[in-house]
Amino acid sequence: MRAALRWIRADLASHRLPALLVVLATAGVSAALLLAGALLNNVTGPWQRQFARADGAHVWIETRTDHADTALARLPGVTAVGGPYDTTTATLTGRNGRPATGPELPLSLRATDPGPPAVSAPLPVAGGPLDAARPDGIVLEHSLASAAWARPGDRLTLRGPDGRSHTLTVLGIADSPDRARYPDLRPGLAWVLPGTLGTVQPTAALRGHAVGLRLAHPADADYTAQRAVTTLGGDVTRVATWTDARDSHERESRPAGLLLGLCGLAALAAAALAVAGAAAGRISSRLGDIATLKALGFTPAGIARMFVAQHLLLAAAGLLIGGAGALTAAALLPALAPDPGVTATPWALARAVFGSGPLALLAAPACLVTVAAASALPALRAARIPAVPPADGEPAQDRPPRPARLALLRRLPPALVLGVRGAVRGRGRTATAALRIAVPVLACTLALTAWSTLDGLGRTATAGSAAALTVRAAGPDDPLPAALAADPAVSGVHPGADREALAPGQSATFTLRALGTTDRPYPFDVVEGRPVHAVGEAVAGQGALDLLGIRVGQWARVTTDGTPRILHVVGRVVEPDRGGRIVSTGLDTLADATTPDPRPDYWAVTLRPGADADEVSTGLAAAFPGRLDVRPTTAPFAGLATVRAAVVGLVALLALITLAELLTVAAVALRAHRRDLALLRTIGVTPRQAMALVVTRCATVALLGGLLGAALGVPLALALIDAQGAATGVGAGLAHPPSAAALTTLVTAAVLAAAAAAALPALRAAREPAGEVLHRI
Amino acid sequence: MTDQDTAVPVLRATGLVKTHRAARGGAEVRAVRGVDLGVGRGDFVAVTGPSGAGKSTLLHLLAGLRRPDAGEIHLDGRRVDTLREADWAVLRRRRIGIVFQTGNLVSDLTVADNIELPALLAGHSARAARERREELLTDLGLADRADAAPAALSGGERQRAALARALVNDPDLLFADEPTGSLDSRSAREVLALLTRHHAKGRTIVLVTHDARVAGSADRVVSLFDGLITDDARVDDTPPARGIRDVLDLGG
Ligand SMILES: Nc1ncnc2c1ncn2[C@@H]1O[C@H](COP(=O)(O)OP(=O)(O)O)[C@@H](O)[C@H]1O
Ligand SMILES: [Mg+2]
Repeated sequence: MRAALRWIRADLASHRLPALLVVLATAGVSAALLLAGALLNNVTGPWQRQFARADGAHVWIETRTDHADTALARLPGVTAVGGPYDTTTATLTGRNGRPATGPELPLSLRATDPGPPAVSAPLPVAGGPLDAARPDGIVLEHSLASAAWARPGDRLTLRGPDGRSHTLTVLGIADSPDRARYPDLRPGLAWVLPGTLGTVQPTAALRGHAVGLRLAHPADADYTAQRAVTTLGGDVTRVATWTDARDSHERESRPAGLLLGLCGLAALAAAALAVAGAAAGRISSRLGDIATLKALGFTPAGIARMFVAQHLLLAAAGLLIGGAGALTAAALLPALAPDPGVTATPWALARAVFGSGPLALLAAPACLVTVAAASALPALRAARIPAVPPADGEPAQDRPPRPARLALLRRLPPALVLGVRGAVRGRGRTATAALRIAVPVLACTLALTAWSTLDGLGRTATAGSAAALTVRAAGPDDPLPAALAADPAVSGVHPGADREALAPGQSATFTLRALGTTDRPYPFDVVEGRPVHAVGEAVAGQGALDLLGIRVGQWARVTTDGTPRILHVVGRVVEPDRGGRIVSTGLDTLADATTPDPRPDYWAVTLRPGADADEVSTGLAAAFPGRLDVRPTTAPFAGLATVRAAVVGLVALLALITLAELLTVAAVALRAHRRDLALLRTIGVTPRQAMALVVTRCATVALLGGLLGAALGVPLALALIDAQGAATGVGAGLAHPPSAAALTTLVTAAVLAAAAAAALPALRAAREPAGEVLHRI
Repeated sequence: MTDQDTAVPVLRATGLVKTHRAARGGAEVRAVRGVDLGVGRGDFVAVTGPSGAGKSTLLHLLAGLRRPDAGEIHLDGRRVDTLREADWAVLRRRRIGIVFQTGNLVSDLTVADNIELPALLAGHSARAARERREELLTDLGLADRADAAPAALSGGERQRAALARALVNDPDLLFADEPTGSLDSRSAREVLALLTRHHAKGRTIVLVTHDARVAGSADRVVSLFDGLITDDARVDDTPPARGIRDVLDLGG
C-alpha cells in the first residue's frame, strides 16, 4: 500500500500534464453536469418548485354548495383545505377603454383576501398582489395575461354574468402552479377582493365556491377527487388534480429539458473518452516502469488497482474543482440563479447547484464511475504487461506494411506524403486516435443540431421569414390589412383566428387555428402530407393527431363553439405550440351559415429580411393610434434562451475536451514515432519537414475523426431530437441538421486545433538532436 | 590511394568536445574531450574503444546528429559544424550514409520503401530509386524480402537492409556505429564484406566498433579511451602513411 502510494506520488510528480488532463476533464464534466442540472431545474423544474412554494392544492373542487370545506376536510389524507373561495364567471371584453383587440376571453374570478392564503398562494410574476385599498384591483393568472396581452396598470373591461360592465385595474400577474394554463383550462383565472366579486356577482346564491385540498399523498389525488364528488353529490361543477396542472405547465418546457439532457450526456461520453485516453496514454508511456514494478513484486491485480485508484484520486480532485467552478458560474450567471430577480444567498446557490435534482446528485458518482471504468481498461492492459521489458529493436507493427506511394515524393512535400500515409497506415493506432476525436466532435454535432433545431423552430414560428409580428386590432379593421400590406417592410399578411376545439368523446381541448385563406395560404412547415389547397382541409400537429386518433389523410370531427365540423387533415406540421395540439386551416373554412365571413382575431405579419421589427411595430401603432396591439412572434418553447446558453457552454466544454484529446493524441503520436522521426532525419529529412510530418499526421487523424464524428453525429442527433419531438407532441420533422457551413467549420476547427496542438511538441521533437533520441532508444 | 587524395581530407575534426548533461542536474559526462581527427578520401577508419569511451558520441558529432560543445568539423574543407540542421539534412541526403547498431528501419514502411526513401528525398526519380533498390537488395540477398515489414526480418537481414538504405545514394561518406554489434558471426561477415566492397569503390567509411576482428577489416584503427584518441595506426604492417601524419598535424 505504502509502496503504491509512493509510486503514485512519484508518477504524478513526473507526469504532470496527463494528470492535469484527467483532473481538468473531470472538473469540466462535473461542472457541466451540475450546471446542466441547475439549468434543467430552472427550465423544467419551476413547476415543481413553484408548486411547493405556493403550497399548491393537489385537488380543486368547484361546487355550488357553500360549506363544502367542512365535509372535504374530513376526507382521509387531506392535510389542509384552502377556501372555500367565492367564484364567478366573467368575460374580458376590453382594455384601456377600448374593445379588446383579440377575442373575448372567459374568466373565472376568485375572491381572495390580500394576504397570502395557506393553500394555493398566487406567485407574483409582475406587479404586486391584491391591495385592500384598491377595490378595483385584479390580479391575472400568467397564461391568461399572456392570452389577453395584458400588463400591470392596464384597465380591463369585464362583462359580468348579468351583462353589466365593470372596469378593473391589473395590479399584478401571478403564476398559479396548481391550475392548468389557459387555454388548456378555460376559463382563465383571475383574483379579486371579495368585495369586488360582490359587485360583479351581487347574488350570493349564483356564486360558485372553490375548495383546494392539500393531500398527505399526492398520488391519491384521483381517489380523493372521486371521494369528494361522492361526498358532495351533484353540486360539484368541476374537479381538477395537480397532474392536469403539471402536464399543462411542463409540456412546453419538456423539449428544452430533453435537449439539455442530451447535451449533458454528450459531455459525459466525451469526458469518459478523454479520461480513458489520458489513462491509456499515461500507461503506454510507462510500460518499462510497469515491467520494473512487476519485477519488484507488484501483482497484476495490484497494478490495475493502483492505476484505477490513481485516476480516482485525480477525478476526486477534479470533482472539487468542478463543484467550485459550478458554484462560481452559478453566482455569476443570472440564468442559473435559483429564483430570477432574487439575489441568492450562498446557501440557496449551493442548493440550486448541488440539490437541483437527480442530475446534480448523480454528477459526482457518474464522474467517478466513468473515470474508474475508463481507466480500468488501460489498467488491465498494464496488468498484463510482462515483467520483462520489451526488447530493443524494431517495435512490432500492428500489421505488415504495404508498399507506400513514395513516388509521390517527386511532386509532393515529404511531410504530406509520409504524414498522411503514416496516419492512414497505422490503422489500429489511427483508428483509436480518430475515434477519440470523433466522440467530442460527435457531441459537438449534437449540440449544433440542437442549436439549428432551435433556429428551425424560430423560423417555423415566423413562417420562414427573418421576423414576424402578430397584430391585433380593436374595432373596425377594414383599413388595417391594406395598411399592413402597403408597409414596405412587410412581406406577408395572413388573417388568423384561434378557436378552442373539442374532439368527439374527449375532454381535452385543442386549438383550431384558422390562418391565411385557401386562396392565399399561410406557409405552414408541412413535414408530412401536403399543404392546404381547398376549403375544409387542414394540417395538424402531431399532438392533435394523437388526440384525435387519426393519421394524415383522414377526416377529423371537431367541435368549436358548439358547431361540429368535419376537416380533412391533409398534412402534418411541426407544431411546437401547445404540445402540438393545434389543427390549422384556412380562415374561410370557419365560415358557416351564421358567420359567412369570419372575422380574423389577429394578423400574422411576416417581415422582409433586414426589416426592424421594433420600427415596424411603432410605425403601425402610430398609424392606428390606440387601436393596435403589436407583438413580435417568437418560438413558443419555454427556456429556449437557456438551451442556447447551455449549447454554447457545452460547445466550449467540448472544445476543451477535444483540445485535451488532441494534445494526448499528438503526444502519443510523437512518442510512438520519435525513433522513426530521428531515423528519418538521419537520412535527410529536415527538422521542419519532420515537424510538418507530425503535424500533418495529427491533422489527418483529426480530419478522419472529425468527419466520422460529424457523419455519425448528424443522423444520431436528428434521430434523438425527432424521438423527443414524437414524445412531446411536436412530432418528427422537428430536428434540423446543422448547416454545411457549420459542420465544415467544426471539422476545420478540429483539424486546425490538431495541427496547433501537434505543432509545439513536434517542433520540440524536431529540434532535439537526432543523436540524442537514437542514443536513448 | 594517392597523396593528392589524402592531402585534402574529406573529413577533418579539430578540438571536438561534447559533454552530456543528465536531464535533472545530474552528473556531467565528458564523452568527447578534445578530439582531432582527419579522414582522408577513400579511408576506411575503424574507431574502437571500450564501452562508454565516447565512440558513438564522436560518430554522432561527425555525422551532424549532435552539436559539439567546442571544436570544428570540416567536410571537403568546408566548415559544417555551424550549419543549420536543415543544411545538414541536405548533406545527409546527398553525401552521407549512416547505419546504427539496431533500430535502423522506419517500422511502418516496407523494406523496399525504407531503402527508396532516401533516394527519393535526394530527388532521384521513382524509377531510378526502384532500380537502385532492386540492385542493392539483390546484392545483399534480400530481393525476396522487399515487401516485408522490418519487424518480419531477422537481425542480420535488418542490418543488411539498413546498410542498403545507407548506400542507396552511393554516399561518399559512410558512418556505421557497431553495425555488426548485435549480429551472429555469419551475418557480421556478410555486413563487413559489403562495407569492404563499398570501400573498394573509393568511398570513405568511418566505422565504430569494439570488436578487434571487425576493426581488422579497416585500413586504419583509431583507439578512443575516455573521450580522447589514444592511438591511431594503420592496420597493415606498413607504418602510417605520411599523408595521414600531415593530416593529423594539420588538425593539431
Ligand atoms: N544523451 C546522453 N546523455 C547522457 N549521457 C550520455 C548521453 N549519450 C552518451 N552519454 C554518456 O557518454 C559516455 C559516452 O557514451 P557513448 O558515446 O555512447 O560511448 P560508446 O559508444 O563508446 O559506448 C557514456 O558514459 C554515456 O553514458
Ligand atoms: Mg556506442
